[in-house]
Amino acid sequence: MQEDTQPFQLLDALFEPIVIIDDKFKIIYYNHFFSTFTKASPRIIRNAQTIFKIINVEEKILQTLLATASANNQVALSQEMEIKLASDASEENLAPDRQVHASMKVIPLSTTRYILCFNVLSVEKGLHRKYREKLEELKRAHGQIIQADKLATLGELSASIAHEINNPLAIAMGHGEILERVLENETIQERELVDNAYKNISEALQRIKTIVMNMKSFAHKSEEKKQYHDLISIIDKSMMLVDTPFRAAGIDLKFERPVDKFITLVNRIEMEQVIVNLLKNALDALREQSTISAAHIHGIVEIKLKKNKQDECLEILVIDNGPGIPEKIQGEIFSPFFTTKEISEGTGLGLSVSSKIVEGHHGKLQLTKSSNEGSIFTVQLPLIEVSSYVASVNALNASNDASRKKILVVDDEEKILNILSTFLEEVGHTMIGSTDPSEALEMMDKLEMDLIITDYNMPRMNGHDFAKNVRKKSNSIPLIYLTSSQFLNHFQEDRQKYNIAGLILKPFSKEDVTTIIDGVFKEAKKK
Amino acid sequence: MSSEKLVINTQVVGNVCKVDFIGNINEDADFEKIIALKMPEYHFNFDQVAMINSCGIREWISLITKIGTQATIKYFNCRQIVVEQINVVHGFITDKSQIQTFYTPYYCDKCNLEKQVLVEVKSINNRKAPAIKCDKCSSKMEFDAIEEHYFSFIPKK
Repeated sequence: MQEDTQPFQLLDALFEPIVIIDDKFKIIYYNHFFSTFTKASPRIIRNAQTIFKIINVEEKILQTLLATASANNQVALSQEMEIKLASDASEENLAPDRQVHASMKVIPLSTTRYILCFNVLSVEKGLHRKYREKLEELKRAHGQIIQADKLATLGELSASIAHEINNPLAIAMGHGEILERVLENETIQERELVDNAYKNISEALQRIKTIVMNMKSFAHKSEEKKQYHDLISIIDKSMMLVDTPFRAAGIDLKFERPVDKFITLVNRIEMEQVIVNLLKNALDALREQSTISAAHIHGIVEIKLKKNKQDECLEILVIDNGPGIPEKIQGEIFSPFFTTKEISEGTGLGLSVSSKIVEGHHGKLQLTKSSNEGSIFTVQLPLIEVSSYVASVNALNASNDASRKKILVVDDEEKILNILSTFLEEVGHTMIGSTDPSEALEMMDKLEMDLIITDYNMPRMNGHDFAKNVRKKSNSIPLIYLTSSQFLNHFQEDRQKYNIAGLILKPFSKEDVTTIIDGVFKEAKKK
Repeated sequence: MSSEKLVINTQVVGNVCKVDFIGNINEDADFEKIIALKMPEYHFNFDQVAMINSCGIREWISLITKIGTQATIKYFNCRQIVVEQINVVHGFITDKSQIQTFYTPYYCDKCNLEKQVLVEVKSINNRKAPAIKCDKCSSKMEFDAIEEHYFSFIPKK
């Protein structure tokens, strides 16, 4: 570096490592931070024929950058890369600090000279890796806590469940003995007795099987996948799990069953865990009340299920007529390990875990009312369209695939929604499910769909009226009917009128669905 | 990034707490032990510090902020990597925290030998490297860094 480098001395004030090279990669000037960054003293840099003696970058990469910068007379930026700092050590023995993660920027200074700046990213890369590792660790720990809470609940219920199994077992054994005596006689005149005994045995055994299966599925470590489920069946199942201890305590458990289905996108086992936790807490509160209170209050726990249109959510209310929760601890009940019970009687995880599960469903668990006349816990869950929309947005954000289509499916049967969700996911599309055509129409205003598949025979609005309303909003969006051959004539009538692009007949296979959808997209593209 | 976690050894004698740092000063560095001691004077020894990165510097500045108002801090045996950070980061040196000794890099052209020489701050005049002779051939060794930059933390006399 013999020439006058005074104009470049301003670069010494900058924090970035900067070096000026010519088109033969010879170093013309470098700032102080270049020496620090490369751990190369002035002596080493002075003796270096080219920059490659200081930083070990592929000549081809640097050549391309210089050419790009020169051709366009503008800054050329490299990808992030591992840059080895020149060292006598072999690659295997290279010290960690002799390798940095960085990107390079080339700025043309003249036709033969270039400024090279380095953006050092080693720290960010390392922090990001550590962050991801810690996040995975937290997810695993969270999963373990949920499972631990579930097993603790199961442990508490097991005594009652064992008692519950004993009853049908005794019935089955009793009737089995009857059968044995009758069959010994070989005449089987008591045909009716035999049939009756067999029927009772069969029912008792079926009951045992159901109890055991419920326990097994509850204890099973749930996968993260959400599916379309009717909350009514989830509540029914949860009530079955706690039925015995409720009866043993003489506490009524009621469910105001709605007429319509309440289908939404949830993890069934996790939701059962939430409801069982809430019911158990209500049970414990009422049991405690009955032991300490002189006045006999008949304990009642009631579950209500309703749609909150204003807040666009579904609500599960668990209402008890217990002593309520003291105001001074109401702020703490959702904290992990907070409990008012004795050490062996509760982990203090129930409400904390339940709250996290509901948050994981983009909902809220709250104590909405508490007084000496009882408490109300409310689980708020987003409407099916909202939870489906959020899941789809997450899937779309995670995917860079432009061919991934957004498909709105409207059907009042959760089984159909789940089957189609599986089929469409497998071929790389994102599905938004809806059980209510009115809600589906509102969803069209929020999210641009690529295709709509609708059932024809739905309770509140049939396919014909739905198609009419869709066409008021959009003439271009392809629309497919999903129905049985019973309603084929409606497809024929509506095909031209509302431009119905395709028909999927029930029952259908994955190939039926994907072939029809591909065909509809191809036709739409032509137009 | 190196995964060698920082080890902090402390020895309290009278009003002085001597602290040895061994390993990497990075985002995992935990200085709570030092803060909890609440001593009036700390002597920090950097002789065995292998690496310090920008996250470690943040933790360091936070440490100095917490203890620096009450305590006197002296830095000893600052390695070249530490000196390089001291020169670019505000907050390492304050009214109550000063460098006492640090390493300076030298090179002997004849013997092709590199050497780190421990010097006292007070021996440096006008940010000039002291003259050092090679242990092997006794010829004058070259200061192996940029003087103006390396000694910039030392106020000009």
